[in-house]
Amino acid sequence: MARYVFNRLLSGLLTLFLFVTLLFFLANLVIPGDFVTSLGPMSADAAATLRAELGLDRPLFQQYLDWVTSLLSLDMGESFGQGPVWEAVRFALAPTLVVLVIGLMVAFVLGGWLGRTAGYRESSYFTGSMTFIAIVCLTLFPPALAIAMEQAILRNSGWSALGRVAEIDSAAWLTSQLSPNQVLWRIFFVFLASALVLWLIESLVWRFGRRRIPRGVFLIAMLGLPLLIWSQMGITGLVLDIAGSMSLLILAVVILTFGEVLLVTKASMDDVMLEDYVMVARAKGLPEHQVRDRHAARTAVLPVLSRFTVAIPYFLTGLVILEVAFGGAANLPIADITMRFHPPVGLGSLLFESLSNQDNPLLIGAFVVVGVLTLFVRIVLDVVHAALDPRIRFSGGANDA
Amino acid sequence: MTPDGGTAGPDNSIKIFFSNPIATVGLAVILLFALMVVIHPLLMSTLWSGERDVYDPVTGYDAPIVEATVVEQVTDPATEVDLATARIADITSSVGDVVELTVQPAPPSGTHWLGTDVFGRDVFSMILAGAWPTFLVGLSAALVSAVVAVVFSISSATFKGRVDRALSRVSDVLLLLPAPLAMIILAGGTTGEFLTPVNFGVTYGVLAGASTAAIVLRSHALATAERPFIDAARVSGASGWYLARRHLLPHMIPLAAVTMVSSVVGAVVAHGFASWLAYSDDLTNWGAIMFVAIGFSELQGVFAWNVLIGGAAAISLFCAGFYMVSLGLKDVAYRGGEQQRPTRPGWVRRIELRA
Repeated sequence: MARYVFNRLLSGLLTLFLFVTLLFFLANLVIPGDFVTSLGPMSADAAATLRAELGLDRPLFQQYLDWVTSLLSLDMGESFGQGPVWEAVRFALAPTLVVLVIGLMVAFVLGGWLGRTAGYRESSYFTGSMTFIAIVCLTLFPPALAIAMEQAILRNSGWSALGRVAEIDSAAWLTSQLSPNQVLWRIFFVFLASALVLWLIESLVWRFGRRRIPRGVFLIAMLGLPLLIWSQMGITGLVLDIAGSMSLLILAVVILTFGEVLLVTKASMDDVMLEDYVMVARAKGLPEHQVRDRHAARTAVLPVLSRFTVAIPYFLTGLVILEVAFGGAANLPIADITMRFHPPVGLGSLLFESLSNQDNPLLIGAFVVVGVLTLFVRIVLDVVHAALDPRIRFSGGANDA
Repeated sequence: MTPDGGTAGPDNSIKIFFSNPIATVGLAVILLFALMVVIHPLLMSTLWSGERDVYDPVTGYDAPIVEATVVEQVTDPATEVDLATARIADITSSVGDVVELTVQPAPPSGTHWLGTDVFGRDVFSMILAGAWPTFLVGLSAALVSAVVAVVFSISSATFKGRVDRALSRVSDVLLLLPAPLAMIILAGGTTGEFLTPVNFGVTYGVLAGASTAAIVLRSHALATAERPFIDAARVSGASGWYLARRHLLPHMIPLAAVTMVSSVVGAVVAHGFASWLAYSDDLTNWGAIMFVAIGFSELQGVFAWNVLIGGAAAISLFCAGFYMVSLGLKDVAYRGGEQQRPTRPGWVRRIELRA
């Protein structure tokens, strides 16, 4: 197993190197003009001076070599307008990760549960309507969903509670030592850590007690444990405040994603239900929910996992689109009110801002982060897959990246 | 012909496809959009032809005129208007006058089934006109991605070794660059001139075909290449090219069709969003009309719901149609051979297929 993980990481690094090379040349060769032309018309002399100052007059290959060498020491260089690239990216990464992780977790739990139930039942109104809802949610046009959600909140004063928390309550932040970004990182790591701890506890209970923790208890613990840690850290108020400001975005991610999870789980469940071992489990006289959750759903999860190793970049894209759509809503007639719905600046805003400024180091930096995230999730899912399915481990990983 | 090596011929495939009600509905939806493509020029040259070209999707103009009395305090918005608004229509108006106001965007009516947008253009006509560019984007993306993915996967399975490693490395690298996101950024960077619907579709197809689609098809091609009939053909002297063309290709088609359909959805959403951000020179596509509806609504002070809902529903329905068809195609691809009992346990086979 250790060797598999090692090979997988090594191969991932090579992929990453090729990826950053491709990105560098794509960004510099395909998009016409550079940072200096994006500043508007200026005299040839001034432009030449500025280019020399920014190092843009070097041959492209020289620029690439310099950039890659500094990348090796984890230095992503200086952006043209926003200071060091890594600082800007790290700032944008926190809200993106929080929204992505929480949104995808909720979507997976919800979609997986609905899909399991729908796939387990024979055709019925429930199955039919679930499929219908899933397809509708899956194919919603993301920016239109963003606008509709904002308008719905603006028009229903009864929902203004949701709208009110959509702005960060500055009073609480004045007395705090922490910036919103630091709080976001704490949210992310605490959430991830408690998920890991709970998973560990569950597997220990299974290993030594041969018992499973009921789903409901697990879910409540998943919500309660982070809250407990946050209150111990004394940041519960800030967490709730900032989580509220991102609630719309998270809700939108869930709406757009759970449909796909539901359909894939359902299809996989449909297949598994025909298998002999499900019939055997029933014949043994096991209760139906055990047949469903332990015998059928456990196997049905494998195709879902491998399906999503390929889909992660698309989830990220969806999030970027949503973020820009929520931010772009400042175009709305009621601009001053909608400004409140601006989510914290995430990767999406960073991408589009650096694009419009032709800030290539920043643009490439943002894409590198998208790539690293994707690669990381892919490797983790592959390792999980290998742990669940010995054939992959022993074949040396035919699907190596 | 199915990946399972079953005996499902074309007739059987059609039967399997139509036995899935969702797929049938999806096909009907796609046909409806195809009908829109055909019907728009016909309508423009017959029913909708007039002196002023009221229904032209780009330059048409029609706005219902209502009369309103100018008052200082508006109590009944249907018949009264305040001075500031009245002066936009007629600078000389004063309190007590009756002014004629043009209503744009106008709500749905008999002459304009979906109303008009902020420029007074007919929304229904614009949506009909947007169907063809969308088909261009979707179909070119689908074709190119399928060709690229099939070439990649069959080369991998035929030559194996170095070729396979190199190609899957390319796929892995491109997977890190999500095709929809890359296309949106590319559209923004090249300011729309380069990205005609076909160019957009082709570029998307190359990116998606060489990454996601190639990864899905490759594992299927490798699994197929290990099957006994390939060995049998090789022993009897078949060349690599013959094997690829006559034995591998037919087995790739159902799965290639599934990936084609998902490229349609991805490309159409990406193109819609790029147009929504005004990254496209194309004036008649669904994203662009929504951009106009929202971008200019400040001018009129009215939010053009009819345009937003019309455009968004068109894109969503278009994607949903293709998605539903892909569900039916998956049935054909994966269930075609289920009458024959597979030699390996079913779930092992299926995981391999989906991996």
